Order: sequence, then C-alpha cells, then structure tokens
Amino acid sequence: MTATLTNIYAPYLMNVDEIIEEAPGIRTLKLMFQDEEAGKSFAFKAGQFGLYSVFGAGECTFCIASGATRKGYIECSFQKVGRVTNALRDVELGDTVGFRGPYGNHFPLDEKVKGHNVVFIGMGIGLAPVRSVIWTCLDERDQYEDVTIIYGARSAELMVYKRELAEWAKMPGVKFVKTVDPGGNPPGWDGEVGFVPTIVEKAAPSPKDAFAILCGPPIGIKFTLPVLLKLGFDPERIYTTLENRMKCGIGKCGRCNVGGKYVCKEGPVFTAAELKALPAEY
Amino acid sequence: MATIITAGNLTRLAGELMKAGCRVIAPAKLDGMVVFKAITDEHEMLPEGEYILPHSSFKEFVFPRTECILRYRLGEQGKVSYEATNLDAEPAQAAIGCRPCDAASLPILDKVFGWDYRDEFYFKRREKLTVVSIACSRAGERCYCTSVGCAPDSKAGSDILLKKTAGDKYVVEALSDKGRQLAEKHASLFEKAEGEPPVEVVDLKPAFDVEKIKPWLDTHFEDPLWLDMAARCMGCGTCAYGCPTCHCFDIVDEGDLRGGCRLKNWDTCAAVLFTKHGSGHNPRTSQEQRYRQRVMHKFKYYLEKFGLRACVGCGRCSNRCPVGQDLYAVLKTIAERAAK
Amino acid sequence: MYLKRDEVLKRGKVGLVVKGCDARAVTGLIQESQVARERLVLIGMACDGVGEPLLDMCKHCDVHTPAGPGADAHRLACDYVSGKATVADAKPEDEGWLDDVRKIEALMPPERWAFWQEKLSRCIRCYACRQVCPLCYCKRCLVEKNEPQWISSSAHEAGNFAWNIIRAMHLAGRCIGCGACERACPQDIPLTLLNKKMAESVARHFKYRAGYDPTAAPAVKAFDKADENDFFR
Ligand SMILES: Cc1cc2nc3c(=O)[nH]c(=O)nc-3n(C[C@H](O)[C@H](O)[C@H](O)COP(=O)(O)OP(=O)(O)OC[C@H]3O[C@@H](n4cnc5c(N)ncnc54)[C@H](O)[C@@H]3O)c2cc1C
Ligand code: SF4
Ligand code: SF4
Ligand code: SF4
Ligand code: SF4
Ligand code: SF4
Ligand code: FES
Repeated sequence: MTATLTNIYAPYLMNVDEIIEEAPGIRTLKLMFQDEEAGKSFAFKAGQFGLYSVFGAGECTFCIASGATRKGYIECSFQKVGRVTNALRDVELGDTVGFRGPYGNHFPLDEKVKGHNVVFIGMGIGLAPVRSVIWTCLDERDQYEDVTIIYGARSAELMVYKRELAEWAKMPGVKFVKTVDPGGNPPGWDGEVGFVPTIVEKAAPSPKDAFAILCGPPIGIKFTLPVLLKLGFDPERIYTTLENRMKCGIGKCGRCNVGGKYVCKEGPVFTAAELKALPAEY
Repeated sequence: MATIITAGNLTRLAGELMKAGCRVIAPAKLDGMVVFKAITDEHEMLPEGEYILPHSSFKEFVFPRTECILRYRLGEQGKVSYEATNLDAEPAQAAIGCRPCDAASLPILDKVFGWDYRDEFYFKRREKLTVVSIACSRAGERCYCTSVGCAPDSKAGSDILLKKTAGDKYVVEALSDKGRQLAEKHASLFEKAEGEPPVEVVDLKPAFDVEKIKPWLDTHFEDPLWLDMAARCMGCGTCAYGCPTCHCFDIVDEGDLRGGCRLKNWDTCAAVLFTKHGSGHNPRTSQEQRYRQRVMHKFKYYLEKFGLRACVGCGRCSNRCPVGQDLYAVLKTIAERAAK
Repeated sequence: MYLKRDEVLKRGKVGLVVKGCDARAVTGLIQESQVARERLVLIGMACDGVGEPLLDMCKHCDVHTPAGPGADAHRLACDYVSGKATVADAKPEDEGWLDDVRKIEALMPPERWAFWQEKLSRCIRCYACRQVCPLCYCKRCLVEKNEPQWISSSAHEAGNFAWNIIRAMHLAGRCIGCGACERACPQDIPLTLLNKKMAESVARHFKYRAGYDPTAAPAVKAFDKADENDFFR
C-alpha cells in the first residue's frame, strides 16, 4: 500500500466493485479497498466524508453514504456537476479510484441520539449522508426509539436509493414518508406531493424526546429548519450538514471556512443552534 | 560577553554552508527587485544595508507555489498506481539575512500546517530550514510590524538573530538548538566582544491599537465599511502570494494518458472560484465579501483558532497591490472606528 | 476594468473620466459589445503623459487629447473634453515604441529563449495582469476552464509559458497598450514586450490598431475575402 502515514494527501487505492444507476445524473459506487488490511482496519462514523479521486481528473468531496456498521467497503453517491464527477461517471467496474478519509465530525449517534426518537429528513441527493445514518441506526434498530424518515426529491425519477426506500417503508417501527415536488409525481404515485418543508409540517413528527437529522441543498435546509423549530424541535437537537467547497478536507487549504469554523474539521455536521451563530456565508 | 559576526564573515558563512551542500536562501537582485533566492554564489547575497525587505517572502522555500504531492501512472484496464512524493532527500536550507517579520511567519504557518493532520510537505522543508535574521535598523513606509504585535527585533521564528552594531558588525544571538549548532559548526567565523555592544534597531511606533481590531470584527461582519474599503479590490492573488503567512492552496491533477502529478498550488481567497460550489452556488459572491474574509481570517479567525494573528505587518500586501488596496489603512480605520 | 463588474452594471449609467488611452480601452469594449455607449457619460481629460520618469507608452502616445463632441465617427467622442495637451501626438511613422521589442528580436534564439525562460519562470499565477486589463473581461477565463483544462494552472515552467503566451494571444489586436498589466505584475515580468509584438504583427498584417475606431470590426473578428492569408478563404 502506498498510502503512507506521513503523506496526508495520499489516498487509499480502491476498486470499483459495483455501479448503481440511481437516477438521471446520479450514481452510487461501491468501493473496495485494494489493500485488505486497510479495509479491515478502516472505520468511520456516519456523517463523515472523504475525498474521492479519479487520477488525472482530480479529487472531489462526498460523504460516505454507506452505513458505518458495514465493514470492508464504502459507498458514495454523486451527481455529475464538474470535472471530477464527470470523470467518475466514466469509471468502469474494476477500475482504480482514490479515496482519502474519513474526515470531519459525525452525527452523534452513540453520544446522544441512542435511546431517543429520531426523525430523518433528506432532500434530493442530500439523502446520501442521511442514508449512512439511517443504516447505521437501522442495523442497531433496538437501540433507538421511534424512527421517522421523510424523503423528498424533485420528481419520482430523481429519487435515489429507490430499492431501499421500499425496504425502509416496510420495516416495522419505521414511519416512512416520501414526497415529490408538485408536478414531479408520475401516474400511480403512492407518496405525497409537495415540497419537503410543507410535508414535514403536515407529517408533524413529534419533537418529544426527538432528534432531527436533516440534509439537502442549502435552500431546502433554509426552509425546513424553521418548520422544525415551529414544531418545537430543540435547535440543539437538529443536526444538518454544510457542503462548502473543499480541497484538502483536513484544515489546511483554507477554503471551506464559514466564519471561524472550518467545515472540513469542525463540520460538516452542525446543529441548528451552531448554524445560527455563524455568519451566513454558506 | 557578546558574540559578533562581521558582514564579511556572514557572506563567508553563506559560502561555507553552500559548500556543505546546504541551500542558501538570501536576498539577491533580480532586475530591479530584491528577492529571496537560492543563491549559487555567496556574493549574490546583498549587503544588509542595501535592502529593507525583499520583494516576496521566503515562504516559497517551505511552501512552494506549485509542488507535486504524488505521481500516478495510469495502467491497463483502469488500474492505477502511484508513488507519494518523498522529501527526505531535500537538502538542508538556511535563510540568511531575512527580517524578523518573515521569520515570525513560520510559527504562524506551523499552526495551520500542524493542527491535527501534519503536512509533511511543509514540515520536512521547515525542519531543514535554519533562519538567520537581521533586526531592522531602518523601516519602510509600509512596515508596521509593531502595530500588529511583532517587532523589528522580535525573536519568533529565528534560529539566530543578528543586530547591527558599529563597524559593519552584528551582535549574534542564537535562539534555538538549530541556531546554536550552526554557530558552533562555523565557530571560526564568529568572534567574542567585551560587554554589550550598542545595537541599532529602528524605533517604530505602533500606528494603531491592534487589540481593538478583533472586538470590532466580532461585531461587524456586516458593515458598510467593507464596501467602502474593499470596492477597489479586483481579486487577484498578489496580496496572498506575496504574504508570508497566507497558506491557501488548490489540489489539481495534471498529466496525460500515461500518468502525471497531483499538485498542490497556491490559491487565494480573493478569487471568485475559490469557494464556488459544483452546483454554481457561491457563498462569497462579491469582492467585498472576499476581502472581508481576508481581514477576518487574519485578525479574527486565525487568532481564535490558533492564538496568533496571521499577519506580521511586513506591508507587502500594501506595497504590491496593483490598485493600492492598503491593509494598513484598513486596519487603522477599523482601530479608529473601534476607539469611538 | 471595473466597468464590467456586476456591482457597477447594476447601478445604471456610469460617468467615466478618461484620458486618451482610457478612451481607447472604452472604444475596444464598445467594439466588442461589452458596453453600450449610451450607458456612459465620458469626460475626456487632456494628458501630457504620466509617470516619473514619463512612461514609455506616454512618450509614443498619439491620443494626448481625447476627441470631443462632433469628432468624426471613427473616433470615440467624449461628452465633454477638458483642456488641451501641450505635447504633440506621436506620428504614425514613429516606431520608437518598438525599440525594446527589436532588441529582443535581435537576440539569437537560444538567448531569446533563455530571456523568456528567466522572466516567465517568475510568474506566480496571481492573474493581476488579467484582473487589471481593461480588455480582459471574460466571466470565466480560459485558464479557469477545467473541462478540459486548456491551460495548466500550476506555476511551473510549462504552465507559465502557456498562460503568458495565451494571455498575449487573446489580446492580440485588442490590447490598447495601456501597460496596466506590466505595472500590476508583482514579479516585474515585461508583459508589454509580448503585447507590443502582437500589436505590431496585427498592424503589419491586418493594418489594424486597437482602440481607435469604435465603428471598426475588431481584428480578431473581421473576416475579409481579400485577406492575404488563404486559410480564411
Ligand atoms: C462535506 C461534503 C459532502 C458532499 N457530499 C456529496 C455527495 O454525497 N454527493 C454529491 O454528489 N456531492 C457531494 N458534495 C458536493 C461535491 O463535493 C461537489 O459536487 C464536487 O466536488 C464537484 O466536483 P467536480 O470536480 O465534479 O467539479 P469541478 O469541476 O471542480 O467544478 C467545480 C466548479 O467549477 C465549475 N465548473 C466546472 N466545470 C465548468 C465548466 N465547464 N463551465 C463552467 N463552470 C464549470 C463549477 O460550477 C464549480 O464552481 C459534497 C460536498 C461536501 C463539502
Ligand atoms: S487587495 Fe489588491 S492585491 Fe489583494 S486581491 Fe485585491 S487587488 Fe489584488
Ligand atoms: S497581510 Fe500584508 S502585512 Fe500582513 S503579513 Fe501578509 S503581506 Fe505582510
Ligand atoms: S487571507 Fe485568504 S488567502 Fe490568505 S490565508 Fe487567509 S483565506 Fe487564505
Ligand atoms: S497593455 Fe496589458 S492591460 Fe493594457 S490592454 Fe494591453 S494587455 Fe490589457
Ligand atoms: S501579473 Fe505577472 S505574476 Fe501575476 S499572473 Fe500575470 S504575469 Fe504572472
Ligand atoms: S477543505 Fe481545506 S481547509 Fe477545509
């Protein structure tokens, strides 16, 4: 293995083990460590992210979308937007890609959420980090109280993890709500129709003894946060993630800060209370 | 008893070091400019009286403008291998004749490159660097080290500090093990003098009270002053690239179908693309926001995080800005506002 | 260079004080449809030249006094003009502005290469040259395009040659010779040499000088069947 301890920019080499077409423009890659030892010792916590690279194109940042309880591999889901994500789209089974991480903080499942109710809210591809927590939580289902999952996308076609959504819906003790933006509902749609904030208000998960975990595009978060607060959620118990542009992921390159916080190190997970204290530069 | 080195022996020291395989970084002429250069002849080193502050800082020698962090090879069927850059073979280096402000930038850079994850690219070069600085007996128009808590004879970051005394000689103060080792190794170049020879250090009065800056920044993230102060900034990288303490970088891959390099390149918060998301969303859309980041980062965020300001008051950003954006004036304005 | 900023454009009509050379820059922007004449109120100022010592470009300036209302259509007419220059405009046959270019041209190729190698190796890719240039107005500069990465963004030799040559090429027939880029360059790279060489080539081959005639089609855009080069036909 070439990833030496001293070169903090050296990635693990990973094999692309599975490619899943999630939605137009969105794919999930399952990556196996080429070095089995590294794979065995690799551990992360839900909410953390990494830098994925296509050699020759560069690096880009995604959260780790697989559950922290699943060992030996990691998954990432990405949307193609630029140079690296386009190149990542062209990789084939068995190709080598780079990964370094895990970086950043995480959702405090073990520290805080265990033993309480939890409401997951995902918007668009923002379901990726939430999925990691959902699986981490569902794999240890007995350690949590009520679980609610609310997921919204622009249209039914654009929903990610379609097969898993069905699985979650069927799970005992899981309240699952899916929704699409008005107009995004195909004939025979069995979910809700409406923007996520509206649906959250309608579903009105109880704030009692509950934590909320919310991820999505900045605009979605902006409009959903007030709804949660209105429902009575404690700002200290609402967790969300910021996605600032990153290059190093480890507090060196200087581009991810929001005010005095480096999102790559003190984030990407923030509580609503912490967000409020930051300047609106995200 | 004081230790002394003559100007002539300082030049000889550069020569001896070079002979021993050390890279000597010294102020030297380049066209009309005085720059820090890896000299090849000790006489390239300018006499201390001929410059106040070299044009750019010596940070290039610990944090190059571009450097390869790993070399990759693209193999058959999508297989890739790579070799991480190893800097163990880098030569020892000595910066001779730099100023205390430049030296003081090193402990500042140590913080960001060392917190939690240790950036070996910086530290390997840093550890191999011995800093011999000369206290300033003159100051430039935009020298304001004393205003930001630094000084013309401050010791931070120097391994040896020289202070000018009569007869083209310098009083030597070895400040670290590295400095003492260097002085011992080249002991024949140093001499002893009776008592404490008087030294010449410029008396530079602070122009504003730096303690007032952070409290003002704490409460004025939004303020019309930013627009007034920063509208002229046009977002180049001149201030950041010349600054001894700026440390932002980009990571890019460059190569062909067979392989290439992953590079770490200087970058700057003044650039539009610096923070732009893949989605097109940009947290800092205007130049005022970007300039505010510069000031906030140096005088608030860095201080909060690492206990040091990310500015040594060298004045390079003011001197080099193509449109005359003057950090000194900005800070002075802020300090005055804060005093009201 | 501030003229193209969103912050400025938002504010409607802009009053601008221009010297003769600045008027040439504005002419260029009008020619390239970057700004509409109607949006500007131009106040021309006569200028005997600036800089101490006098800038080289000012010594060879032929627009000391900007054209005022009623000037012929082939000069940009300011709304007001203040003063009259006391020095005479340079004559068209004055080739003094090319002296330094000729000096470099006279070097043997290896020396010339070494000259540029030394100069361009200094470039730190701060892009101050681009940022101050009145005619560099692209929202996304070629060097910032990464699909594909046309120009390496790294400050190594190959990257710097690519950047500096392409910058000069993109300004061929457009650069009005204001010298702002060279003055802005923190590394003292003689960018004007490149620009002048381009200007001279364009003048020789296309009989075109940038920033004089707001009605003329810019050299890089013009297409003429009578062109002496056959690749256009
Ligand atoms: C903590 C964190 C977690 C994240 N998790 C995920 C995730 O799970 N899934 C996911 O999909 N994304 C995620 N992102 C976002 C993801 O990092 C970016 O989408 C990705 O880095 C884009 O990389 P790129 O190289 O493809 O884009 P780049 O090519 O680097 O593009 C970046 C910039 O260049 C611009 N650009 C690029 N090419 C062009 C062009 N030709 N013309 C004009 N402009 C152009 C873009 O607008 C953008 O400003 C996450 C980000 C963070 C910080
Ligand atoms: S302050 Fe000056 S040097 Fe710095 S980015 Fe702005 S224009 Fe460039
Ligand atoms: S901010 Fe300006 S004065 Fe301060 S260290 Fe940097 S270049 Fe020098
Ligand atoms: S001032 Fe800007 S470029 Fe310099 S270190 Fe801070 S964020 Fe980076
Ligand atoms: S001289 Fe430089 S700044 Fe002026 S127009 Fe030409 S290229 Fe642009
Ligand atoms: S201003 Fe000078 S150093 Fe900066 S990018 Fe242009 S040529 Fe290079
Ligand atoms: S991503 Fe580099 S500092 Fe945060």
